[in-house]
Amino acid sequence: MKILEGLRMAFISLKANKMRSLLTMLGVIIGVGAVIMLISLGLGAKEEIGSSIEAIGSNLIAVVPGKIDLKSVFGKNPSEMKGGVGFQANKLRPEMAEFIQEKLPEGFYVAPIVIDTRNISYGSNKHFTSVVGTTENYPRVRGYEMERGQFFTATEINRDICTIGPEVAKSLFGEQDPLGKQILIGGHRFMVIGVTAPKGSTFFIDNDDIVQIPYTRMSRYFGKNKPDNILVQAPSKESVPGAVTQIQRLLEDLKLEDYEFTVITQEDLVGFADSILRILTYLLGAIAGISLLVGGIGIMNIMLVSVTERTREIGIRKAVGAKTRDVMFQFLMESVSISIVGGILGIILAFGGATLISRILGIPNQMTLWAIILAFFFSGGVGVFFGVYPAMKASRLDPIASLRYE
Amino acid sequence: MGEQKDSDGKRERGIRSFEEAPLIVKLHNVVKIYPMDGVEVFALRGASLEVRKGEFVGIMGASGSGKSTLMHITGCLDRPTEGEVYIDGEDVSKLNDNQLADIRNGKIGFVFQSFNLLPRTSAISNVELPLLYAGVSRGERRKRAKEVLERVGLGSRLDHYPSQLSGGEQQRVAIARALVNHPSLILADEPTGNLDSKSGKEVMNILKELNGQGITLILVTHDREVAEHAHRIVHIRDGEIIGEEEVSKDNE
Ligand SMILES: Nc1ncnc2c1ncn2[C@@H]1O[C@H](COP(=O)(O)OP(=O)(O)O)[C@@H](O)[C@H]1O
Ligand SMILES: [Mg+2]
Repeated sequence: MKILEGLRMAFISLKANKMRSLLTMLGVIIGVGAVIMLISLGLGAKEEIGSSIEAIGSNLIAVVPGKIDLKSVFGKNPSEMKGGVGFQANKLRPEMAEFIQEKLPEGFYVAPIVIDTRNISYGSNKHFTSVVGTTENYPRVRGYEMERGQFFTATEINRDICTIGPEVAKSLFGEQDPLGKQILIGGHRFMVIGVTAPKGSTFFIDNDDIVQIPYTRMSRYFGKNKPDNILVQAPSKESVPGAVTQIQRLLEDLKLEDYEFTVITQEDLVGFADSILRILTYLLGAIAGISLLVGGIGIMNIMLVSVTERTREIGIRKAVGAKTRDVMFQFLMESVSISIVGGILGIILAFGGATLISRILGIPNQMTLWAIILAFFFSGGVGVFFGVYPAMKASRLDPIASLRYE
Repeated sequence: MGEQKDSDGKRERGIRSFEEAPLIVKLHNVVKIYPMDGVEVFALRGASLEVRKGEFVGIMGASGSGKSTLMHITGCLDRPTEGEVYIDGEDVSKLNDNQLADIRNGKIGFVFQSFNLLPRTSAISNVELPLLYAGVSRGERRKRAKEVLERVGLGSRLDHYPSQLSGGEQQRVAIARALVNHPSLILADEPTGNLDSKSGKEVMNILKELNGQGITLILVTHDREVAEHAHRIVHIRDGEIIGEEEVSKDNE
C-alpha cells in the first residue's frame, strides 16, 4: 500500500475521534512548540548579546578587581571562586591606568572607569543618573562620538567640567543648548563642554543616560578614587592576546600585597554569554525532550486502546486479505499522523509564541528553517517509535479471534 | 435428521453434472482443537469434505456442531490442528499467514451471519476493502465496487453507512464485498440468520444467481428451506460429517 493511501486512511480514522486525537497530540504540540520557540529565541538572544558586547567598544580588554574565571563559573565548585566581583578590597588605582598606558606600545589606549550615581540638576530640572570618572581616552575606548562640543583633554583633567549623554541633555535642558552651562552634580558645580551622540543600550544599561567627569573630580568631590575597572583598547584583534599577558605581567610586577585582578577580554565575555546560553538551551531542550517523551507515551497509550477497540475491524480487514504488514502499516500511519499533525501545530504555536515573547522582551527571534524541518522529522520519529509496539500488536491478532471479539 | 437420505443412493442422481468438474475444496480428516482454560475443545473431529467447482453445497447441523469452524478452515481464516486442506489443489494447511491472506483475498469471498462491515465506513468503501489489499488503484477500486454494488441492487446506496442500511441491505453490501475481487469460492455462514424472511429470500436469490454464474458456493444454515436451494446438503454433528443428501430439483 502506498504511503499517501495510508495517510489518507489514517486521517479518516483520526477524524472519527477528533477530540481524542487532539488531546493525544498535545504532548507533541507542546514539545515541538517549546523546542522551536527556544531555538529561535535562543538564536535571537545570542545575536543580541553579541551585538551588545560589540557596542561596548572594539578590541577591549578590561582589568577588574577580584579573581574571576569566566570559563569555570559553571564548571567548578563555587568555593573556588575567590571573592568574585566586589567581594574583595578593590586594589585598583588610577595610577595603574597611567602605568599600563606607559608600558604598552603605541596604539593602545587606557581609560580608568570610576562609576557612581548622583543627583544632578540645572535650575529647577533634576535628574538622577550614572556619573563616570575617567580620562580623555574614554570616548575612543568606549566608542563614543560627540554630538556637540568635545570631550575633555589630558590638560583639562583637573577642571570642573563634564560631558553629558543626549538623554541627560534632554532631561535637564530640553531644547536649550547645554554647552557652557553650569550644572550641579552631587551638589558640585560643573560646566558642560560636550554632549555625546546617541549610542543605545548595552545589557539594559543606557549609554545615553550618563555623565562623564575627569576621574580626579570623582576622587576629590565624591571620595571615590578606586576605578571599578580599567579599560584598555587594543589597536587590532590580533594584538589582544599579547596585550593580556603583558598587562598581567605588569600588574604582577607592581608586587601589590594580596592583590587580585582579572584581565578579561571582549571575547571572554562573548564566550561567557555563549556558555550561559548553551546551558539554558540544554536545560530547555531537556524539558522539551521530556515533553516529547511524555507525548510519545500518550500516543502509544491511545494506540493500544485503539487496537483493542478495533479488534473486530482488524479481524474484518484480515478476513478480506489484509496481511500482517498491511495492518502494521495502517496503525503506524495513524500514530505517525498524530505526531506529525502535532508537530505542525507545534510549529505554528512556536511561531506565535516566539513572536509574542520577542515583542514583550524586546529580543529578536530567528525562526530557522532547519529547526522547523528538524522538529517535523523528530515528531515523525516519535510517532514511529511509539507507534511500533501497538501496530505490531494489532498486526499479530488472529483473524478468527478478532472476528469473535465483542 | 429425518429427511436425510442414504448418501450412496443419491450420488447417482444429483452430482452428475459436477462429477467431471475439478475439486475446488478438499478437506481430509480435519481436526480442530481449541484450548479453553486448559481444556481441549474438539470443534472438528476428523471432518472430510469435497466440493467441486460450480457446486452449491449446503451445510446443516445443530448449534456448536462445528459448522463455522469448518467454514473458517475452508476459508483459510484458520488452520486445522490436524488433517489436510486443499484449495484448488493446493495444500493450504502448511502456508504462512501472509500466503493465507493472499488466498482469502484472491480466491475466497466470505459472507457472515453478522455482516461484519466496518462501521462508520460507507458501503462503497467497505466493498473496496479487498481491492485495497489486492493493490488495486483507487479509481479502479471505486469503479469495481460501484459495479458490484449495482449488481446486488444497491446502486443508490453507495455512500450510506452500515447503520443507515437495513439488515438485508447490509448483507448485500457484504455479498458485494465478497464478490468484488472475482473469487471462485463464496463461503456464507448463516447469511440469512439475522434477516427477516423477505430479506433472506433476496439474499438467497443473489447467492443462487452468483452460483448460476459459476461461482462455487458453500452455505451454512439452520433452515431446511434455505438449504434446499443447494445441490447437495452435508450434515454435521459434534464435529463430524455424518452424511449428505442430494436435493431434488423437481420444483425448479
Ligand atoms: N475460538 C474458540 N475457542 C474455543 N472454543 C471454540 C472456538 N471456536 C469455536 N469453539 C467451540 O467449538 C465448537 C464449534 O463451534 P462452531 O464451529 O462455532 O459451531 P457452529 O458454527 O456449528 O455453531 C463449539 O463448541 C464452540 O464453543
Ligand atoms: Mg456458527
